[in-house]
Amino acid sequence: MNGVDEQLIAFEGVSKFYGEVLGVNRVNLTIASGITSLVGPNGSGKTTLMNLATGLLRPSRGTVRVLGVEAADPETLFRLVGYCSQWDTFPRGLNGYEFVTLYLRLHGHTQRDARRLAEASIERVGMTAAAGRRIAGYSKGMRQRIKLAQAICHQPRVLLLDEPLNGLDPLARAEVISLFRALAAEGLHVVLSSHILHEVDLLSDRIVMMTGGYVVAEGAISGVRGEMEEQRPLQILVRCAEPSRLAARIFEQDHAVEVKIHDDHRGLFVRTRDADGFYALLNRAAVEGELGIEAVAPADEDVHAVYEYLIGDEEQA
Amino acid sequence: MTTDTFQPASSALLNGFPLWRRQIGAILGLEIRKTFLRGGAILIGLLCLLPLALLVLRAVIMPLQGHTPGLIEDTQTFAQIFGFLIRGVVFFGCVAIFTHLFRGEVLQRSLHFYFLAPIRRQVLMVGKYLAGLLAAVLTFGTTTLVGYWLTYLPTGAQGREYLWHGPGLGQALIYFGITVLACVGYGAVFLTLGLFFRNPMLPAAAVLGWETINFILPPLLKKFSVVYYLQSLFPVQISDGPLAFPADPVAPWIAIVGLLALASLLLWIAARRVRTFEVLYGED
Repeated sequence: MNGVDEQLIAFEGVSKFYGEVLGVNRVNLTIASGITSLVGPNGSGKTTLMNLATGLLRPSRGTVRVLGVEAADPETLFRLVGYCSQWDTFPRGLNGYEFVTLYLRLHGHTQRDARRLAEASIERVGMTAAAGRRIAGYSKGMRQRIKLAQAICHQPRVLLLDEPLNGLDPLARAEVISLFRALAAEGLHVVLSSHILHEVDLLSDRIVMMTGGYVVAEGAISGVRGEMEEQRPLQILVRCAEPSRLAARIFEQDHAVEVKIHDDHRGLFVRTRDADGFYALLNRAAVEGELGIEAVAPADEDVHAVYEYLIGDEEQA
Repeated sequence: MTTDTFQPASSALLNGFPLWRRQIGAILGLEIRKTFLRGGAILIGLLCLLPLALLVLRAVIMPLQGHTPGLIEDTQTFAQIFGFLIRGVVFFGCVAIFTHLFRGEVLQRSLHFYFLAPIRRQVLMVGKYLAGLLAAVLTFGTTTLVGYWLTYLPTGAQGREYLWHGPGLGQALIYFGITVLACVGYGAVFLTLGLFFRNPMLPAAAVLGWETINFILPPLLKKFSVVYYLQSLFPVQISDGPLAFPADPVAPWIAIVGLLALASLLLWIAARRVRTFEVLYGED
C-alpha cells in the first residue's frame, strides 16, 4: 500500500455474483475526493458496488480498498466511512436522537461525546425539532435525513450515499445538495448513486456510469462526453447576429456533421466531431468580431445526454 | 440544515478490550430493549405462563379437594414440571430469542445498522449472545423460581418452612442454575442455526428430535446434546421420559464444563460464520 492508495477508493478486478446472477463484473475503478456519482438504471450494480465497498457484500473476485483499508476490517473502516444506505429500516423503538447516539456509542464514544456529536449532525441535517420523536412516525424525507445524520455523525472521510435524494421535497433536496458540496469542500470523498440525472449533473465532479453490472464510462461529465465525439457528435447552440456566415465558416471545417440555422435567424445548431476545433474556430470569429456572437452553450454535454447515449439505447433494445 | 464544519470529537477513541466492552454495553442496551419490545415477546410470556398456570390450578384445586400434598409429592411434582419447563418453555423460548438475533434482523432488514459500525463481527456476536442470554435468564429464571414457589404453596406452613429454612432454597438455586445452563446451551445452538439457515425452524425441529432421542444414542453422540449435560444436574431424579435421570450420570462439574465447552464450540463456529456473513435482504 502506498500513500496514493490511502487517498482513494479502489476496486481492482471486482466481480460479484449472486449465485448465477451477475451483480458487477470486472470493475476496475478508483475514486478520489470530491463528489462522484454512480449513475445507471435499476439493477446496474450501483448498490452492489457500495455494499462491496462497505463489506456488506464480499466480492466473488478482486479486492476493494477504501483509503487503503479492506472491508474485512470494519473496526478501522467505519471510522473512515459513513454509509447512508437505501434501506429504510431502523432498529425498532428508537427515536432519531437515540438512533444517532447509539451509533456513536458503537464507535466507542462516551455518552457525553456521543450526545454532542449526535446533536451536531442532527442539526446539520435540519432534524433537531423531530429528533425526539420515534423514527417509526417519520416521513420518508425525515428518515432519509436522519440516516444522513447517522452517516456523518462520526466525521468520516468517505461518505457513501445510496439514492440520498429519494423522498426529499425540493427545498430539502437543495439543502442536502449544498450539504454534500460543503462536505466535499472539506476534502471528503462523497460517492452517491442517483437516477435523478439533472441533480447529478449539477452536483458531481465525476460520474461513473454503469449498466448490466459493468462500468461503461467514468470521469468528468465533459470528459466522458468528449470521448464519445466520434460515435455521438457534440451538439452546440450558438446565438449570433450572422448565423449564415458562421455556418459557411463551419462547413469549411471537415469535422462539421450538421448545421441548422434557427428560424429566427439569430442563431444556429451545430453537430461536430471535433469540439476543440469548433471552439477554436468560434474563438477566432469572436475575436474578429464580425459575426456578433452572443452566446454559446453545449446542447448535450450533460449527464442526461451521456446517459441516453450510453445506456438509454441499451434499455430500449 | 447547516453546512458548518463539525467541531472535532474531544474524547480519544478507545481500542481493544475497553472499546469492545463499551460496544458490548451499547449492544446489550439495544438488544434487551428490542427483545422485550417485539411482538414475539408476548408469545414467550404466554409460554412461560403455561407451567405457572398449571401450578396455580394445582394450588387452587388441591385445597378445594381437601388434599394437602406432602413435601415429597411437591418435590416430585416440580421435578416433572421442570422437565416440561426445560424441554418446552426454555427450548422454544430460546428458539424465539436466539434465532431472532441475526435471522430476525435480516427479515426486518435492520442488520446493516450494526454491520456499518466500527465493530468486529465477533464482538457483535458476543454482544448479541449475551443480550439474548440475559433476556432468556431473566425470563426463564424468573419462571423457574416462581414455579418452584407455587409448587410448595398448597403445603402451607410446612412448605414455607422447607422453602425458606430448609433445603428448598438451595434446591431452587440449583434449578435456577440448570435453567441458566440450558439458556447458555440452547442459546448457542440457536444463535448458530440462525446464522446458517434462512428458516431456522426446520433445523430447530431437528435439534428437538435429536434431544428427544438422546437417551438411546451411543455415548459419544450423547455428548453433542444440551440435555445430556442437564440431566446429570437434576437434583431430583425423573424416572421416565427424555429427561429421565441417566443410567450413567456424569459428575456435576463435568456436566457444567462439558456444556460450557459445547456452547463455546458452537459460538466459535458462529463467530467464523458471522465474519463472512453478507447482508442480503432478498431484493438484491
